[in-house]
Amino acid sequence: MGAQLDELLKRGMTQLAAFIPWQAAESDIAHTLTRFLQAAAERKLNVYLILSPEVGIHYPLSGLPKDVMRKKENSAQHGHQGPVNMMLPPQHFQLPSLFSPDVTKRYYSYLSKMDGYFHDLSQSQPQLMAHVSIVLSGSLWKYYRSPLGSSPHTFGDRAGDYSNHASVAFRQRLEQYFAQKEFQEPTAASANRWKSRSLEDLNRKWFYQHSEDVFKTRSYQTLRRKSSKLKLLEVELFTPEADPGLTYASFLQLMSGHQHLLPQYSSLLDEYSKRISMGALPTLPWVHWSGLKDFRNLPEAEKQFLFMKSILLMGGQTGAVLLDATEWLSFSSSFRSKAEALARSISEKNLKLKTQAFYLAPHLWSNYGPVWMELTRKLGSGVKLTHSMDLIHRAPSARLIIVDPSLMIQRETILKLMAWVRGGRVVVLPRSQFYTEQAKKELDHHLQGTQKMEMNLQFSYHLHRVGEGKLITYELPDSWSLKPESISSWQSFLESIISLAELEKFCQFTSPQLEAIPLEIEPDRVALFVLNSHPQPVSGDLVFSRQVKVSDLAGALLNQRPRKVESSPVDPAEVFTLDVPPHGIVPLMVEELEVKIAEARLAAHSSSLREGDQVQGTV
Amino acid sequence: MELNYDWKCFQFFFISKRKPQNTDLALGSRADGEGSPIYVLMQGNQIIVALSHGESLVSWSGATFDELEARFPNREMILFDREKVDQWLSQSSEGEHYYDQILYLCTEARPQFTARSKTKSFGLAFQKNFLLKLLKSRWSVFFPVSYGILVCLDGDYSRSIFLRIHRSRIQSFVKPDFSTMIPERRKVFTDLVRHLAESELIPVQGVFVSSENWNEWSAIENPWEKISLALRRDRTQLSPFRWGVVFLIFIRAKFKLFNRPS
Repeated sequence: MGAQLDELLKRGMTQLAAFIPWQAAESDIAHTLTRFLQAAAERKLNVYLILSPEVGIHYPLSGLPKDVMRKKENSAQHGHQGPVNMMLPPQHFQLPSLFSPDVTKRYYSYLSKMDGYFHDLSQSQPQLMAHVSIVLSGSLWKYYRSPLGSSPHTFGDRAGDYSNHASVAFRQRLEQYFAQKEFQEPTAASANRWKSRSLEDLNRKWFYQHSEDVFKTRSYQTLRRKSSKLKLLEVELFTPEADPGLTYASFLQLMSGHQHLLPQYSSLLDEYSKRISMGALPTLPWVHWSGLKDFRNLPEAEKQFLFMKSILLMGGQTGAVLLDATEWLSFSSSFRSKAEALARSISEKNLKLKTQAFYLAPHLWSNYGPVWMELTRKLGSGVKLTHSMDLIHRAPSARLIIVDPSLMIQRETILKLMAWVRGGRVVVLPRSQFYTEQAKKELDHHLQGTQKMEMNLQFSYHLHRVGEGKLITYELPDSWSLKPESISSWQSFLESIISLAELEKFCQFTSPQLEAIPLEIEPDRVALFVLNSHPQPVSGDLVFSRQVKVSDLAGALLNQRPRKVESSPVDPAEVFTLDVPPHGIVPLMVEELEVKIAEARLAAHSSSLREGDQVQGTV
Repeated sequence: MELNYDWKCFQFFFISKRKPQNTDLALGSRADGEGSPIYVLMQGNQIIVALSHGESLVSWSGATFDELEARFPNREMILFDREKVDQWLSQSSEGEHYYDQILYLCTEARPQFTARSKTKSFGLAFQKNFLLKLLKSRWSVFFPVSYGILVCLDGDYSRSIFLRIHRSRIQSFVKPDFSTMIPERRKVFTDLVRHLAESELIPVQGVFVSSENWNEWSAIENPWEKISLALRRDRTQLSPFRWGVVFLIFIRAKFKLFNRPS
């Protein structure tokens, strides 16, 4: 073990992430783990120990306990009533249901055991834990999707576990949840309306999110029982090779022996980076390229592209990328240097993926149709989907919230939204049938006496001025599900909202094959990465809505004299021509953007919200 | 923590990385005449996923098969029905390990062909290696019911894999554990093989080869002549040296016998 770690250290690796296979931990790995931590501590390596059940672990059944997995009744079922097949080496298996009492009891008892182990180790050999962080991940919840619904669009279908265990838990939770006083108004019988079968899809969404949150919180608390001083991170760990959306593509690839999964992987990264969640703490997005399956066989240029894109998207949100050591060493030394320099710049210069708008939805992994799709198309990486108002409060740069029509609106939701909108922001709220009586009253109370304007752009809506912000309410069509045929109406509606919120995509391209990842350094300085995922070189114009100055990013970050990008790049312009090589990423520094005074005001308002009368809990 | 199925080690020895061509056949592009087969997974007439060698067919998801066929009238189409694929995938999880499971898929998957069929076998990437093909070939009648194969590269015991085979099926694949051996003995091929035979209680055939030769043989369809030559020139060693094995390799190299799978 020591020799292997020495080899890694010699090759410049100082951060190690290791999965603890639950199966192995149950049969006692204290001795092996202590030896590993000892060897790592002697070499001053930073170790991240991932404890949650995850896929993509190089261990039988991905480390899940064999006896639990053998029982068919413990398997999860996706929305099309089939098992969730996990097609990753060292063996295919069906995902267990995290609603099965067999699974959860065993899991929490394993966590308690690990808690005891870390506590004892911290007492007896504290130096071993000095460089160790314990990682709890979002676990298997995001994989409860059918390959059929996830194939064309990653999160293109109703997500969640539909097994018997999940259904029982759902029914129980429904009864408890709607026993709250708020749902029993005006009469006790009103609660039955919420429990009707026609609302099952809607109820399942919040139920899955709620169950996932409970799972995360309980895992966190279990590990805090004895070892309260442990460094603990909460992350959402994405393993693209395990995504149900790629099950069928992987099958065809196996049959054909051909390899062409780059577009799918690239789009998975985009989708992952747009969904942010909250556990006991805000969760950090991590991507894990296990190298167990298709990633290993990708051509070198494609692997490098995906790895760099992962660094940009996850690093820009203070996340991380996990890569198998063999895969990392298989990259050329010049590529490794570039990747390290990029990661270091993101971390040291605090480069951030700026969030402009939020889509507030009841469940992170479900499908949200044309409004969400259109919003991401219009704002690119500047838009995020979340279930948590607390997370929104932590993003001072955000100026717009669009509330999904399937979100159940309670009084608390209205209070949080109103507190947020007052700071000069925009909230779009559907007038749906999913308001409680108290929520309706609360909203009416806030809107009383406000300036109101009726707008009609193929779609009628009301604009209210609330404090310095704007609240837009609109009546949903008869059927709340948004039909694709009405997409043009939604497009016009969204366009007007985006312009009302004074938002825009950071830049545009004349070639649809190019994409941009802007990472903010300061409000007027942005590191812009232009990506070409295609195997051919792509030329196109990079278009800004106002004059900017563009220079070479590497030079600018190191405070060197910028190299020329075009014939006279230092002259501010609105349009720049770029040639991006196949699978290439062009880093640029974009300066002298208009600094919005409103942003500073929003930031001030956000911090006052956090310090002062912040409303706790998630929506 | 012992891994009975060390997939990373297995990949390293048996699955070579491929270099695909890159062309783009996006929706709306011009139809071509000849080309590699297009693999399509469908539900009814609707395409769920389509794939072809080095081509991006992502934009065809959601389109109908009729549209695809109209666009590429001369291409061989290999179609899989979604429900059947789900069934095969679920059944494959009964297998013990990934290699077993993909062999099951490659055997069971029965596609439809729309144009004159040329493609006959599937999952070739995993069956390309000469040693894996050998285990499934008619040669297996000459082998014991249970045995082990140790492949060691460049005389370095840390770069080796041990396959345990039972009735022509790979039962496990691991990086062998020689930690209980005296360090000096780990350099002696016969001792490595003896150690495994004693600990596993099965006959073990050791193959000691340079990584250069191994990679070269793994990349070609029929390397037996090269293997035979390497044995004669002592560039590759068998331990223990069995005349029967050498004879079979020689026969296979010279007469190309038993090449078909059993």
